[in-house]
Amino acid sequence: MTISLESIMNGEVGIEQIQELRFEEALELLESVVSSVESGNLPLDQSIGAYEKGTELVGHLRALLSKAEEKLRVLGEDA
Amino acid sequence: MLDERYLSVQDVMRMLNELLEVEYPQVLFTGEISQLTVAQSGHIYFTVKDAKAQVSCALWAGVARSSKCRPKVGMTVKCRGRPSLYGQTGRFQIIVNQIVEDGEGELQRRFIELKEKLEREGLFAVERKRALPFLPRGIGIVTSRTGAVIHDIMVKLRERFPSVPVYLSDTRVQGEGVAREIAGAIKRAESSGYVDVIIVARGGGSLEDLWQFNEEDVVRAVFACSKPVISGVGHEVDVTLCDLVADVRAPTPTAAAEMVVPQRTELVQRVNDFERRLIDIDKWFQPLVQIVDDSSARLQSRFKGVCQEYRLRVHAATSSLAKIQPRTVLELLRLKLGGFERELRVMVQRRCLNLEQVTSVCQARLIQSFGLDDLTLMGRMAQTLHDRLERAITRRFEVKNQALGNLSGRLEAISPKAVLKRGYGLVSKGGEYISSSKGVWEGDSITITMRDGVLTAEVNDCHQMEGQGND
Repeated sequence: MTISLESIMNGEVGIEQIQELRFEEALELLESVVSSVESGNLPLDQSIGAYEKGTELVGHLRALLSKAEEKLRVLGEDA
Repeated sequence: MLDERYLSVQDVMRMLNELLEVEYPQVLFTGEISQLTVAQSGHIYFTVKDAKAQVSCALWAGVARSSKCRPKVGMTVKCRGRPSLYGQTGRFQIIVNQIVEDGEGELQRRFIELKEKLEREGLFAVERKRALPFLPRGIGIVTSRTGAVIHDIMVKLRERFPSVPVYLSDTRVQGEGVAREIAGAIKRAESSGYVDVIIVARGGGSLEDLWQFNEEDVVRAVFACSKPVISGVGHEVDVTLCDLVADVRAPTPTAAAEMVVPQRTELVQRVNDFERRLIDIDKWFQPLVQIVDDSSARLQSRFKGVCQEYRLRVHAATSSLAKIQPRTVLELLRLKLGGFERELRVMVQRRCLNLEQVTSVCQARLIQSFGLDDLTLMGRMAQTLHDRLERAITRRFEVKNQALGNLSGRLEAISPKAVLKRGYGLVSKGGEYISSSKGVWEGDSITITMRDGVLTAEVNDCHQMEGQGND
């Protein structure tokens, strides 16, 4: 599942959708969001919305980058 | 010298043999056969040498019969055996339990044949190599759970990116017929649904040790796998067919672990960079928000002042109305009230106009100082306040109108006309209303205003009542 920059900017993307993104997708999206807000071409309310989504993307990426160590699991013969 | 113990030769040989057994239970060596004798019993005795040394070897008849290799002088062989001392002759020899011809040996021949066949089928084609996922959600590892390999891989993964789940698909990695087991382990990892990428790994070893990774079963399982496969079998110099068919070949199992996940710290850095840029954007918003807040506070206090002014005016009007004598003609009152109402309306309209101007000046200044085309947020806020003002003023009018209505009713009640309705008459003399009989004499002409008309009369008699009229 991928999310377009337009749908982010139009406020159509919920946090649940963001949390399903793969790392590289979320990172790419964050880059576009930050760049487009930085360009200064967005209306104020869209900028604020994009800023909020940017913060959510950072949170999701942080979760993926957690330091928590995963244990090695052994797949059963019939798994 | 008395304390020193002397062993029998037999004991020395047994002791050395025990030592050899513990320290070197098995040796692998390669060299050229220089002498060879086949005994009556079928045992084969031979010498293997290289440029600088030679060693005696024994190949028992049973092992010789089951071996594919037929040793002969001049042949280069690879041997696996157990070093031992033969007590009866005092000779050091190696009891060989495995011997293969080196060079274009059996395995080499099979390797080349299978490689050519699978190559023709396109199993090794570069076009079908898939890219590895950037950050897999799960990693499948096909190797033995007992070897050092899984440990080395885990150490490397924890160093680079500890939070990715790792699933081991346990299999033996060496020995006759193990290829099918490896192929099954690949399928098991693939079908678990947990992994985005699979590492097939085995530590270093001889061609024979690694041989199972050259078997068709393994190669076809890797080829059929729906997830990208990294092959990390043996050392860099060992190339197996598994390496050739895999999407990515890693020189060692540890290298495979390095390829499968990115370095966490680098990614943390990148995310931090973006976050910093986001925070910068927030800073950029702040002055704007400040201005909007200030303007709205200023607008609010202005509106408050205006409302207060109206309240005072209406209050003043009410109290001056209360002071007006009931004798004053109702028309005058109505006229004054009408005038108030008009004045208030004009005042309110003027104030509203004023405030609109103030608002647009503020807006223009905001736009000017920020160069932003769109200050919709502030506009909306000002509009809301404007609407609220209008509503408040309208409501205030309604309340006052009602109060004025009540006042009119009360005035009506005490108006002289109301008294006339009850049957009383207003007496006037010479155009002035009189409320006393003093100053009126016989023969004077007076006017009596009744409810429904005016009588003109002449005074016939004049009495003044005792105790009255001297007020």
